[in-house]
Amino acid sequence: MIGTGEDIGARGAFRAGIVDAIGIPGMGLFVSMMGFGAIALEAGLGPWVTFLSTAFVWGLPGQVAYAELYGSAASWFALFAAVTLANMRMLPMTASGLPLMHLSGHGVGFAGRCLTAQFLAITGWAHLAIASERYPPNRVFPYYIGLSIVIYCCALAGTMVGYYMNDFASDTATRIAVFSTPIYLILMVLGARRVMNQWAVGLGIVLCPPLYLVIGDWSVMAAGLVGGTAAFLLKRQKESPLV
Amino acid sequence: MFSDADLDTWAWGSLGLAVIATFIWRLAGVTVAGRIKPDSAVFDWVSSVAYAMVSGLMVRIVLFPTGSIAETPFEDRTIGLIVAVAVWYWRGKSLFPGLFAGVSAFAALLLLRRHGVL
Repeated sequence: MIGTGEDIGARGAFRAGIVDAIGIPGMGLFVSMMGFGAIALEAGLGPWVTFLSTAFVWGLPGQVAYAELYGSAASWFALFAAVTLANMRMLPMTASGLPLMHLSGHGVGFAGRCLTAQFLAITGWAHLAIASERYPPNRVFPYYIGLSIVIYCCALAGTMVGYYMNDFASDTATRIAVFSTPIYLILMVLGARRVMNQWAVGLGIVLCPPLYLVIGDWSVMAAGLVGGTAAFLLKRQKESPLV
Repeated sequence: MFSDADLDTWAWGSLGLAVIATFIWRLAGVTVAGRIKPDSAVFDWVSSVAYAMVSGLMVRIVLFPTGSIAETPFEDRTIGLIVAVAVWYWRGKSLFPGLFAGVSAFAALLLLRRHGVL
């Protein structure tokens, strides 16, 4: 373990990012993206579209929403709205993650910042916070690059292994892989730090299944709007209760 | 090189929509990095809706799936979900123990059924 604030140089930070990624982050993404690959195949997406969705969307909840709604022939508006909301977390993650990398000190311009943000998702963001406490500010960016390269490759490999696993694995193995992805995402959102978001998760879980029986795929958006708004109002009510 | 499924125009169009729908948040994040007010009411509301929507979609996929896991028993998926959440909570809200336990429980049930034990 490297001590807090120890300067290991840019190359050392880059290597530390690679080493940290080879393990739970890389394996976790590999497995969860395997699930996505299997979901994409069942939804009727082609291998190239599936591969590129991991490469360019790079946000598992939005990718799963995309594949599921594509598979159920949802309207373009429902699909766009679902992916937009599912990956909305990218805004706070980017806004809070980029300053940790001190990009201006590395001479990174606007286009470079957009490229850096493109590779930022929940795993990279979580490790950025850890790295910013462990290394001097100017070493966080090389650390992030090392980490991102590995987890990106693991995710792309996992996607394609999942997509083609029907060819070499049993139906049972494919079903297990498909099942792992929603479980991974449910646990991830259940771990929301803010109480309001925890309420929103609970309400989404409670509302969506019964709504699905009535209004089908629109249930996702309805549960999001109703559950999310209710959690938001509950939080405001708690902060400033009416007398 | 391309499969028939790759030649579906709507697949590519919808992929473009998904890429745009995600990148707009990243672009907004780049633009406001260092200046954002994460405690604003609008931000809170959108965030809350996003959390509810993602959780709702994922539970919908577990309870009312399409594709091959639709052929697995409802109770196996439900037990897998409950075990995952219980272990996640028991292990201090740690993601990987919960994921491992939930998926293992689901896998065990499938294998027991396959071998006629259940």
